[in-house]
Amino acid sequence: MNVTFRRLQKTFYTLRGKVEALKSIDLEIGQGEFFILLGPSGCGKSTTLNLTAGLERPTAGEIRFADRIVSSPERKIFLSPKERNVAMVFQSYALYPHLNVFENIAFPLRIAREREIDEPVRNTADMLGIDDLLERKPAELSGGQRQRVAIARALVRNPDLFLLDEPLSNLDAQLRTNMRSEIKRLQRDTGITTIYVTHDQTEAMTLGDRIGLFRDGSLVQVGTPDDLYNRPQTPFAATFIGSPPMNVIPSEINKEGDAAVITYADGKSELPKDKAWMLERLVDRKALMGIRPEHISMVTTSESISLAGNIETIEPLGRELLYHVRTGAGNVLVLSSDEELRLGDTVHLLFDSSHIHLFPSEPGAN
Amino acid sequence: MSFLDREFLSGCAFLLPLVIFISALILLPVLGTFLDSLQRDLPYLPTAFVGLDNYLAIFRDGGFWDSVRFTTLFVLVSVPLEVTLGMIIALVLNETFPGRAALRAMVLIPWAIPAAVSGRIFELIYNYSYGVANYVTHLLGVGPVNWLGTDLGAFAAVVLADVWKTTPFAAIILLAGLAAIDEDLHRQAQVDRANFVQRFFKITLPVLKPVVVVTLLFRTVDALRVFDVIFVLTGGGPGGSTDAVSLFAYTYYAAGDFGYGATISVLLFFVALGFSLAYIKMARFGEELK
Repeated sequence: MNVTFRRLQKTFYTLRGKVEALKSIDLEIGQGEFFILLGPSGCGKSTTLNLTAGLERPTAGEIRFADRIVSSPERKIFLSPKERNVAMVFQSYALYPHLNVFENIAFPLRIAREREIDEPVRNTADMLGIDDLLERKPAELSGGQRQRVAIARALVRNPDLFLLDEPLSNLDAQLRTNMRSEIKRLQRDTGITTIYVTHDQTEAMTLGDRIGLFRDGSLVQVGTPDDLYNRPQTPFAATFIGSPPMNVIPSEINKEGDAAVITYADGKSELPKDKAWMLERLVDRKALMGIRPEHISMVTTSESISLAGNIETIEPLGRELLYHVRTGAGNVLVLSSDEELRLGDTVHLLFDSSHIHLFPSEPGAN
Repeated sequence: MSFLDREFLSGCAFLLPLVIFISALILLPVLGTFLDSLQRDLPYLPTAFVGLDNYLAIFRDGGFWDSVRFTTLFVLVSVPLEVTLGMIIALVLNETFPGRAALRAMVLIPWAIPAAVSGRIFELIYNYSYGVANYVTHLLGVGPVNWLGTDLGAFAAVVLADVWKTTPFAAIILLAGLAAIDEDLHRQAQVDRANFVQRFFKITLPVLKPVVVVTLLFRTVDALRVFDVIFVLTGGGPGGSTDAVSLFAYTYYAAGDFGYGATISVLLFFVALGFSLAYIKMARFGEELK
């Protein structure tokens, strides 16, 4: 089932005033797609999920499941969660503490007065490897086991839509990696359209078919993980995706003869040909230059005009080292396998111009 | 001295103050009352050990059985009313709406008023000629009710006064329990397509069960010992029809028959203890802890 959001808005009224949780979301999620809602906390991603589940009513706009409108204040349509065949997994797992694992998984079936309960429960439990825990109470389970029970309960009644709200954030790192690949496998096997909320960009990159990046109640960018990583459209997207994050350096673009050059503090680079259109778009030649830490190399002496700085911190990441270099244009992160450099060394930074991203410096002028 | 021995001794040391307090404030009085119940303890005769004579006398005392009958009825009617109404109030107060905090505080007022005062207020409300209760019955087209002068009227009056006074207590305990339930459980149940009634009976109530049992326990034991409301409102009347067990014991204490009064207290103590144990078993606290 595909899901469509049109000009979806949600405003909360609190004692401290109006909070615009969602400003106006337009989004289409395809049949069988694994879609990630990504963003920092308070950006509106969980609100979007709750609106989709029918746990909250939108202030304006429309949500459609396939061709059916499920929420539309303008048309006075609102289907309760009961009338939408969605399943949800909460961050807290929300297992019913008084019911054992079997009854937790069976709960949606019992509510729906299904005739067949035993077989689907056992099959789903089997699929998630919790068939030996059916008699236990939630309090007797580990975090990972609880997570599996919550997923089993969501899958047992073949929902049209699978919603997950930060399902992995209560697990330790090792378990998180395991569950991540398991969720990916389950989604592929069942083919259920899935919306997954997370603030963890690694999760988003590894799980999602597509990612919707949120900021302050608006969608900043929608695209495949590759789009967001390699073609970020805003400095926010550039710094939010990728670890360590992309460097964003204030710079200026000027014409020098035929070529255009980007200057930043004491350094300069040639503007890549495919970015020449930037020159026309800029109001006052000011831009933000984005470059990922792995696309910078460091040399101790340089004949060309390059950004110079001192190494301030060195973080060993195992395979590589992450250098924090203090330059005239601010702190720059550099990934390098060079182990010769020491704290305090003066280095020149060379940017791989084919990997330079440029953003207009005015916020929102993209 | 081994580590375990020292561990044990320090454990005992921590428990000691509690043991002393409980002994001084609860155990000794209970034991004293128990001993007194085995004695003839009258102001005008020398005190003497009489064994179980007091108990045998009580079991043959029609007035005692009347008070037991009234108290049982009182518990059976007032406690379910209080806990049910308390649950409804708690469910409402657990929702988010403007003015909730003020309403929460206001709901507690009846409970904060001393029983002697609220008893007097109810006495005025039930007054045959100028009480509010009969004004209401008049508006409803029912003739004036002789609230405190008939058996049924007095029973209803006493139950109403007690329900008014102690429902807030039940509501506040239940509200604390409700507030502790993870909101995600309700949301999860909603997504699992349970309607309001199903969510209450299949999720809220079972999860809240230990708190409900504690509320029932407090209210039952309190209702078994009911004294102040009745003492002020009816004094046990009319014709002893609202004579609660505590009031019955009190009349003997007041008359100076401490042995007989103590015997009634001991019986009441064991009934209350029995209820407590039954409720605790019902809540299965041990299992929750495991």
